[in-house]
Amino acid sequence: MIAISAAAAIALSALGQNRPYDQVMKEVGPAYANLKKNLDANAFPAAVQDATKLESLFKETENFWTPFKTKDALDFAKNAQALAQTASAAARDNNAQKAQGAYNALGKACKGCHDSHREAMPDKSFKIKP
Amino acid sequence: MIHTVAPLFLFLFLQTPAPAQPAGPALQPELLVDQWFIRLNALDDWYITVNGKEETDAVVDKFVELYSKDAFHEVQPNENQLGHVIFHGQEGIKKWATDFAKKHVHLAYRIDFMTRDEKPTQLFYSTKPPWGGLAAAVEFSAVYTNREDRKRFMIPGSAFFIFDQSGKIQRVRIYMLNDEAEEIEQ
Repeated sequence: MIAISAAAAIALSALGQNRPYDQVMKEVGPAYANLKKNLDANAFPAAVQDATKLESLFKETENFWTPFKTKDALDFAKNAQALAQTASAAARDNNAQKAQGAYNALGKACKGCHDSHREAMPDKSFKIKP
Repeated sequence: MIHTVAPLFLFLFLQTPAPAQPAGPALQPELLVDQWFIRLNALDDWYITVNGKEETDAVVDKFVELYSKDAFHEVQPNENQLGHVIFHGQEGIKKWATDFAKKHVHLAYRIDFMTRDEKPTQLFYSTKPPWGGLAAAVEFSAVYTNREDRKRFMIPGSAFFIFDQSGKIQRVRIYMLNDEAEEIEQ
């Protein structure tokens, strides 16, 4: 399932079509939680899949922000891809400590971007700030 | 008899003063200029849709409402044009406001305070032009962040307004002292 959605995301990116941003963001949370769960359980092959999925989701994030040239958002998205890659490589090497470090830094990248570009509405939905 | 008094009645009728025009509320430069700064600063209060559409129309329309139909909005040169740049009419001003809204975030333009004898105040210089309405000017500090590179600046400036009798802007000329621009912390 993860492989299929990652492949679909890559195909859409290749066609220059972006999925709605909320759809992308809603997939990040579960993938991030799964990465933690699998790293805690030393389930490294599953953790690699989670990290790979996160990397493709952050590539979509970068694609969303590219036409606006918003530097901080692009930096957060690129940094998050690099951290997901690090987590994936570390999990492949069964290096739990390094993978956990990347996981933690990934959370900070998410928070940084949300602080700058996400605004909570009274109905608990979110809007994207320029 | 009627022939004798008719010219008198006609004379008296012509002498009757026309009913006085109801006087509108007096224009207050502080309120008019303040409102312009409030709506200018609100030009960053918009969102991007999940499909990547920049929804600036609502805040831009609110800003343009302050101008009369044939107003002039005059600004400094920019990277797209040399010399004095004039935007005319609500469509022209809408274009300026849309570009401005899309280029800046965290807008905090504010009218400067002056202090003498430990008494701080914002000075609104105003006068009544001979054609009616009101003219007003203020010194201000333009504080904003570039949307793309996220650099934040403070630039001193001044704005000169001409309002018509209904309080709509007929002309505004904005001067920014770019030589005194300072990059500041977020």
